[in-house]
Amino acid sequence: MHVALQVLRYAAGMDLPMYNNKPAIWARLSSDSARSYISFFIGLVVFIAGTLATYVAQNADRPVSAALIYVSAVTIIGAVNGLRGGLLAGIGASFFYNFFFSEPLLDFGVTTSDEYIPLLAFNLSALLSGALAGRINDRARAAEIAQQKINLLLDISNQLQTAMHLEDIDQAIVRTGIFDSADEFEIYARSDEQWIAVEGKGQWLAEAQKAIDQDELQHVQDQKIAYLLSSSQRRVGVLISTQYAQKSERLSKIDFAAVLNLLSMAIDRFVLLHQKSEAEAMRRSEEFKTALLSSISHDMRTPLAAISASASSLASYGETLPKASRKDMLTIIQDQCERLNRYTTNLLNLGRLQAGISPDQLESLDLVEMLGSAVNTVKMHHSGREIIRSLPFDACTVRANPVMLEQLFYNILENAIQYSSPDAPVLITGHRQAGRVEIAISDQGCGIPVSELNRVFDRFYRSAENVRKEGHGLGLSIASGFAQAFGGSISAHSPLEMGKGTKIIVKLPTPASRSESIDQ
Amino acid sequence: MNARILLVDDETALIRSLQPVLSAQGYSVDSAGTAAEALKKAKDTVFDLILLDLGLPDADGKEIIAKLLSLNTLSILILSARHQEAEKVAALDQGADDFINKPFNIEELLARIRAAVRRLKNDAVKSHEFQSGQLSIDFLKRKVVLMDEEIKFSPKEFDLLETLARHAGQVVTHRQLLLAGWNDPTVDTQYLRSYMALIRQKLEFDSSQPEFLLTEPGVGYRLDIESEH
Repeated sequence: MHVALQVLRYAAGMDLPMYNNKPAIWARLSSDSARSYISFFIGLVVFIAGTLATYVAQNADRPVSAALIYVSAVTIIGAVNGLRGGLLAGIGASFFYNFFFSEPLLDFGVTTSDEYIPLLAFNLSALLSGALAGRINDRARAAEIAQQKINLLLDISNQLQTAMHLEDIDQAIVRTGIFDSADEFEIYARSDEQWIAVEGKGQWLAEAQKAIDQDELQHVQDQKIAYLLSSSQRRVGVLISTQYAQKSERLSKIDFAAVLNLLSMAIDRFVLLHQKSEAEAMRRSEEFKTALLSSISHDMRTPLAAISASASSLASYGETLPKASRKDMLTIIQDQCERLNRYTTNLLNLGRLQAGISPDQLESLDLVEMLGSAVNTVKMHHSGREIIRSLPFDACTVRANPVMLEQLFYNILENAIQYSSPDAPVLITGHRQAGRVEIAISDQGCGIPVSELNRVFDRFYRSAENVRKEGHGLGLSIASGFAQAFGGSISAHSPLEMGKGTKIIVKLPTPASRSESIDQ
Repeated sequence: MNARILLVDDETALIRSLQPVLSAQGYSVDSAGTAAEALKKAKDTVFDLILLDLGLPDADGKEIIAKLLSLNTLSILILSARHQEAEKVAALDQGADDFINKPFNIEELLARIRAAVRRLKNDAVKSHEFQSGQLSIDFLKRKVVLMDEEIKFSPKEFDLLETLARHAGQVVTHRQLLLAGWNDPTVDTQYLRSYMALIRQKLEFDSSQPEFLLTEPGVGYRLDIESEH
C-alpha cells in the first residue's frame, strides 16, 4: 500500500502546491478559473463515456477490455484535470467498477479470494494512472506559471536597474504593474538624515519617518502599509501603499518580498548616487571658493605690491631719490589705491548680484546721462584715452539703478580701454527700436577668440591669450548681471575687422510712456 | 662691476616704483612686461639677476625659467602674488634661486637681491668659509664658531648648515636639504624637521622663536644672516 499512501500524500498537497488555499505559493491567473471549468466538463464527459463503454464491454463478456477502458478514461481525466481530477476519477472508477461491474454486482463485497486480485489491480491502476497523469499536468502548469513569474521579476529587475532617479523607480513600479495605480503608493529614499520623495508626491512623509525606526519590515498604520527598504548596512527608504492597494495578481507574497529586495537595491543605488553627486557639488563649490579667494587675494596683492614698494622706497630712500621719482611714486600710490577701491566696489557689486536686485531698487533714468557719467569717470582714470560718442538720440528713459547702470557702462568701457592700444579710440554707438534701446561699445583691441565669446561674461573669466593683471574677470560678469537685473541683456561680438576689435552690445527695455514719445 | 638686473613684470606701476630705487642702489636696471620681451632682452644682454613675476600676460613665468637660465642669466628671484607653495616649489625646482611674496617692503627686496648677488660672487671664488657677525663656519675644517665658542655639529647637521650657509639669505628647498643630508630627496621631511630643530638649539637664542634659521612654510628653510663676504 506504499504507492497508495504516497498518492494520498500527494493528494493532501504536502509536496505540491494547492490553489486558492494557504500556503499557496502563487495565486492563479484569472484565466485559470475559466480553463478549470472547461477541463472539469471535459473530465465529466470522459468519465461518463468511459463508464458507459466499460458497462458495454462488461456486458459483452469482455472484462479485461472493460477494465482497460476504465483505466484509460481515468488516465485521460488525470492528464486533462491534474492531480485532483485524476485522483477523483480514480476513486470514482474504483467505486463504480467495484459496485456495478465486478462480481458480485451491486455489492462492494468479494465472494471468492480469487476476485480480490483483479479488483485490487484495477483500483490501484486507476488511482495511480489518474494521479500520475494529473501530476505531470500539474508540473507542466507549475513550470509555465513559474516561467511567467520569472519573466515578470526579470522585467521588474531590468526596469529598476536602469532607473537612475527616484522618479524612474516610481515609474518602473507603475509600469511593471506592482501597484495598479501611481496614487496607491509612495516611495521615499533616505540619504543621511535627508528624505527624498518623488516630486509631486510625498504626502505620507510623516508615516514614512515613523515607520523607518520600527523593527518589523512591514508596518501597518492609519490604513497604510509601510514596507522598509534596506541595503546590507542600513535602511535606505520606505515604500508606503494604501492598505487595500491591490498588488498585481501575478505576484504572491514571496514574489513581493523579492520585488522589495530589488526595490531596496535600486533605492540604495539611488541614495549612493545622490550622495556622490552631493559630495561632488560640495567639492566643486569648495574648489570654486578656494579659486575665488586665491584670485581675490592675488588681485588685491598686485596693487598692494606697488603701493608697498613705493611707500617703503619713499620712507627709506626718499631723500636720495630724484624729485621726479618721488612724485611718480606718490602718483603710483594714489592710482593703486584707486584701483583697489574699484576692485572692492566690484566685489561688493558681485555680492549685490548674488543677493538679488529687487524691483524697488530700480527707477526711471536717462540712459544718456548715466552713460556720460561713466565716460567721465573712465576718462578720469585713463587720461588721454579717446572715447567717441555717436548716439542718434539725446535722451532715453530706462528703468535701472543709477549706481549700477553707471558701473555697467564703466566696466565695459574700462575693459575696452585695457584691451586696446593707448592710441586707439573706443566708440559708443546707439540704436533705438520699439520697446528697447541698444548701446554698442567697440574697441580696436586684440579681440576675443570665437571659441571664448560665450565665456567672457563668466565670473573670473580671463582670456587664455590675454591674461592681464589689470583685469580680474569680474567687470563684464557684473555688467551682464546688472543688464539682466534691469530686464535687458548683453552680448559680445568679435573680431570686428582684420581679426581685431570687440563690440559689447547692451540691450535694455524702454518703458512705453509719454516722456518716451517726447524723447523721440 | 655693478650687477645687472632685469625686472620682468607686466605691472608697470611696480616697475616704475622699483626702478629708481634699484638704480639709486647702483644696480643697472632694465625691464620687460612680457615673457617674450624678457627672453629677447636676456638673449641680448647677460643679466646677473632677473626679478621674475610668475603671472605674465603671454606665458606662465615658470615656463621661461629654464630658458632664461640657458641664456646666461645667472640668478632668478621670483616675485609671487599667489602665495601658493606648490607654485613656488615648482619655480625653485626649475632653477630659480629665491622668491619674495607680494606685497613686499623695499628693504626686504634689497636684502634678497644682495644675497643673490653675494652668492654669485661666492660661487665665483668657491668660498671655503662663511663669516657673519658672531657666526663663522669653516667649510674645509667643518668647524662652527658662535660668539667665539666652537660648537659641535654632527656630520649631517653640518652638511645641512653648510647648504643653508652657502645660500645665506636665500630659501633652500626641502628637496635641496634632503639631497644635502641624505642624498635622497624622497626621505620623509619629518627627519629634516628634527635636524633643523637640533641646529636651531645650537644657533638660536630661543629656538622656539628663531631669528636666523627661518621656516618658509611648505617650501623650505632660510638662513637669514647676511654674509660679510
